[in-house]
Amino acid sequence: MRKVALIVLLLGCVAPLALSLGYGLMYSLGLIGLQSEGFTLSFWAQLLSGEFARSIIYSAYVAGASTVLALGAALALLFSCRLHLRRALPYRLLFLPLTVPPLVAAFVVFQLLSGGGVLARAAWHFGLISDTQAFPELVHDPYGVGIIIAHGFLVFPFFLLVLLNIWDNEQLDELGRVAASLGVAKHRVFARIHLPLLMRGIFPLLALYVIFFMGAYDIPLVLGQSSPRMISVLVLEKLQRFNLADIPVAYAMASWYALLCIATIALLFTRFKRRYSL
Amino acid sequence: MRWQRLLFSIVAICFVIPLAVLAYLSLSANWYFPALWSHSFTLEHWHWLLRDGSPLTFSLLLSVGLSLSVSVAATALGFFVSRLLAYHTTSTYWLLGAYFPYVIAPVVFAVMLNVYLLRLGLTGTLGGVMLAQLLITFPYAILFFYGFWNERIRNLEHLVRTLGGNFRTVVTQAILPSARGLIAVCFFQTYLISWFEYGLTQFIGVGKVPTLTIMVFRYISEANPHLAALAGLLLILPPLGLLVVNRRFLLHKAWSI
Repeated sequence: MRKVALIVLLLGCVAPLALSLGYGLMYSLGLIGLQSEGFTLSFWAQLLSGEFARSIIYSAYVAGASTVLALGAALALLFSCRLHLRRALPYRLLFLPLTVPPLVAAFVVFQLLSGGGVLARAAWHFGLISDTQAFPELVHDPYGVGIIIAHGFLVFPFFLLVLLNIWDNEQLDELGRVAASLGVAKHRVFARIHLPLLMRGIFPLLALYVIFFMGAYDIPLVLGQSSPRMISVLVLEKLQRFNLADIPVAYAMASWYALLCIATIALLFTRFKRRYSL
Repeated sequence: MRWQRLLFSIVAICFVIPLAVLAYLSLSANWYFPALWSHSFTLEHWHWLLRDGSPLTFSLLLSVGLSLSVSVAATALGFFVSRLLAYHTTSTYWLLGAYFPYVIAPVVFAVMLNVYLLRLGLTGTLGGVMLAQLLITFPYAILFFYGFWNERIRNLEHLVRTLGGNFRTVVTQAILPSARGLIAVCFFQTYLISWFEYGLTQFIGVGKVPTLTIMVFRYISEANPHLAALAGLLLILPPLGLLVVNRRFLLHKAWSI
């Protein structure tokens, strides 16, 4: 039975990724593919041209900013409305954004924040702008504002739910009361007790979210600019172009991105396993 | 307390905005700049949805069928494979294998996996999309159920066997009654993973498997916000229904951005 279990696990979970990664690496090294002429590192060398690096940096920036925004909003609401959030209706409302698919969230953000969107129309009615061009660029913009807002909207209620859970499990109310009775100032209770314990609890989730956001596709596809693009969008765009020479480069990008993710997760797992009970 | 309520009311309004925008757009026609509410309103898009042969109705049925099949298969497979893993392996390191498909974005996974599906003649088919989605949902189900197989369940199984029960009796009398709630949650969560999936479905299905997410993007690309909003609403309504029934069904969403 042990063998059956392991075979099913390997076939269903490990083999697809291993085979995919193997194919991607071999294609990017010129060993297979339509234009294969034998082993070459030229497609890997093209990754150094800047487009790949820019895309990875841009993806990391968007992922980091989205996570910080979601975490900041969740913490702000936790510390300002914690008691109110214990009530049935507000607590239930926190689940509402979880019903929105990323693609639909992107569409809604576009309809709200684009030059022809709801906010721009409201601004026109209030006489703040005279045409669509005058409205600030909030989607398809270089800073990924739309993407970050859409990510933040989708994830911050979930972060808040997790933080509420940590608050209860770590009995932070009691710890705060004990500290206050020992004469610790309110801001020090926040900085020395509440925040560190909350951050310790949510750190693994934050790390995973940075990785998930980096690979996001649906939202950047609708709200992202044409250059630099998020890594998933860039890989797919390269693959779907008519230029056959772009295909090995796309596989090189996908393989290196996958290896980067695997290395990051492995590092997180081994380095922080004990501290954060991963 | 009053300002807490006020602050949360503002946040709650933000939560409701997507639904309101989608409903508003699905009932609007000729919504050109700078009109905010002075344009015409119509039920035409909703009538079109209910008309015979509407592509959106077809997509809705296709999405329901696809997600149901994927979630049933993933839940059933994950349930029994997780049992095998929990009972017959000693190291939890084996479980890391189930995390493998999640280390990279589904769409990048699809890009690299596509060649094998192409060789199997599955690219651009419903079967190919189902298989690809199963490769994402099946490991999720394993991870989901792994913790269920604890000492209490093991003892329960032993008890039924000691009393003369065979494997079937163990499953029907011991395991299923204890796992019913978890199975329902896992079923709905895998259903939603499949229901929300866009990138992988688009790449493996090459547009020939028009699920609702594919239709949303198609209408966005065609600059038809009214039908995109209508398709978007159809995507939101089932999870919203699940939220009304039980909020636990939605917690998977954390992993599916």
